[in-house]
Amino acid sequence: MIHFEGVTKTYRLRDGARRKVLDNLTLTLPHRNIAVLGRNGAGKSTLLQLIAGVVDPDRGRVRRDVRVSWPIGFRGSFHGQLTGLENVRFVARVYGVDVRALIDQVAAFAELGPFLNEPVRTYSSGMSARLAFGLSIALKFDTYLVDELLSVGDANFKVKSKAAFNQLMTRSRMIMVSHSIPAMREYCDCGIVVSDARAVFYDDLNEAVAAYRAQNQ
Amino acid sequence: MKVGGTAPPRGTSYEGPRRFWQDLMSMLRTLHALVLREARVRHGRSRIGYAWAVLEPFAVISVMTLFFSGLGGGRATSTEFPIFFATGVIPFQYFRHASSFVGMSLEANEPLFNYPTVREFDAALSRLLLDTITSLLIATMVFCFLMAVFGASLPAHIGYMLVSFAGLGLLALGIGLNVAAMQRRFTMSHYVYNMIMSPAFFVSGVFYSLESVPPDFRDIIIWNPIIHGIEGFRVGYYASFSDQHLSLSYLFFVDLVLIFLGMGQLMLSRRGMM
Repeated sequence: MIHFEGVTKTYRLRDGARRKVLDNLTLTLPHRNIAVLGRNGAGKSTLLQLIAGVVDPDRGRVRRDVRVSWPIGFRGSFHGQLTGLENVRFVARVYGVDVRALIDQVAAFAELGPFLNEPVRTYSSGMSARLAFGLSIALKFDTYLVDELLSVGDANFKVKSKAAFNQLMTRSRMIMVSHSIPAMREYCDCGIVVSDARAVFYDDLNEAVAAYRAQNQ
Repeated sequence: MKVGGTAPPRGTSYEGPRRFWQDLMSMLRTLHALVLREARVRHGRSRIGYAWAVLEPFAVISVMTLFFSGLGGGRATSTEFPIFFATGVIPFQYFRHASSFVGMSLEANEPLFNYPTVREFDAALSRLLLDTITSLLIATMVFCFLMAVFGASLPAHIGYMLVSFAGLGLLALGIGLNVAAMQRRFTMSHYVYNMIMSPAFFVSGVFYSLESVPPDFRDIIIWNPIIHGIEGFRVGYYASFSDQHLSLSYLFFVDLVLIFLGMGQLMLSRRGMM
């Protein structure tokens, strides 16, 4: 479970004004697959960042009793001068897991072969996406964060990553931001709608979608 | 196919009640990973890699020392000045480089903060650690060089030198944290800092001691915390060097204030409040 306790979050805009993304939110998220809906700029990604704990609220706090991942497939952290292996090693060290075991797992999944020993800057975008996805799903978390997912690589890799992801979901849960309602329906059974500095949890995804659509009219 | 095989240890996602021990272990792991990464990235393109980070400043300091000793070459005490100068320029370059390096720690590592276990303070501290290790290696090499070429003696109180060195390191951390946090909002911060620091070489006692300057000048530069680190370094190196004007407690006091301010700025920036 993830608890928001009186969370207020604002952002400073370029002109110095402040925009409220969440206003005094108190909410408990169950350990289920949750879809996050909201218009562009409503604060969906900020909500994910608060859940992960990479930004702090202005007021209030977020408590979690589950292990939360970084956004699946995130590859901004890859350093172009470092090899694929070195980038994987960094994450293994940070998370305190066995370096060798993690490398073996990622190598088997990403199918980069000898390229693992080449600097990441020489990778095609498909290659670094495969490495990033392989790394994300090699570590076991209770809740995975998903910000627009599962469309990397060629058709073959898509099938493979989807199968891997489904296998992961037998043990873990996810919180998913997506603009594709069919993708959400496939995985999630409940949802949060973010709008006007508020976030409302719906026990049924259909209700969440209906509320989201009602806003857009 | 095996997925989700390895579970990270508890506490790495800041889940559950905070436990000091877990948080500390998590931080040590992150520091270890960051130090290795920074060392690799900094000279990644060069074949000899990290060795260059040590050799280059060593060459710069040696050449500067030889150059400055040439200026005072006519004097009878010509082997004394190079040693005096080196004991100033070693701690000074450490501070200069470390503060600048820490000052860029957030901007250079911004994407890494998407991993919940990697905190802004870890990025700053890991850069300080790396520069401290590097500078200690450089200092050792320079002293060996001085002993071989100028017949310099062994340090009198090495502990005192290390404490002064640490005082400058913490000063670099304090200033670096503030510059790095401000850099998030004003991209010019780092340039402004380097501009302010450009005359520092002349007012930090690199080539003179507090004892030897006119009292009017001394009354002003004695407020410069860097000078106390450098004087302290010399008080430690020489068997008899006047510590009349030295105040290491002033240096450490400034360190603590700046680190406190820097942490405050980091906290505000994590909350999006600055």
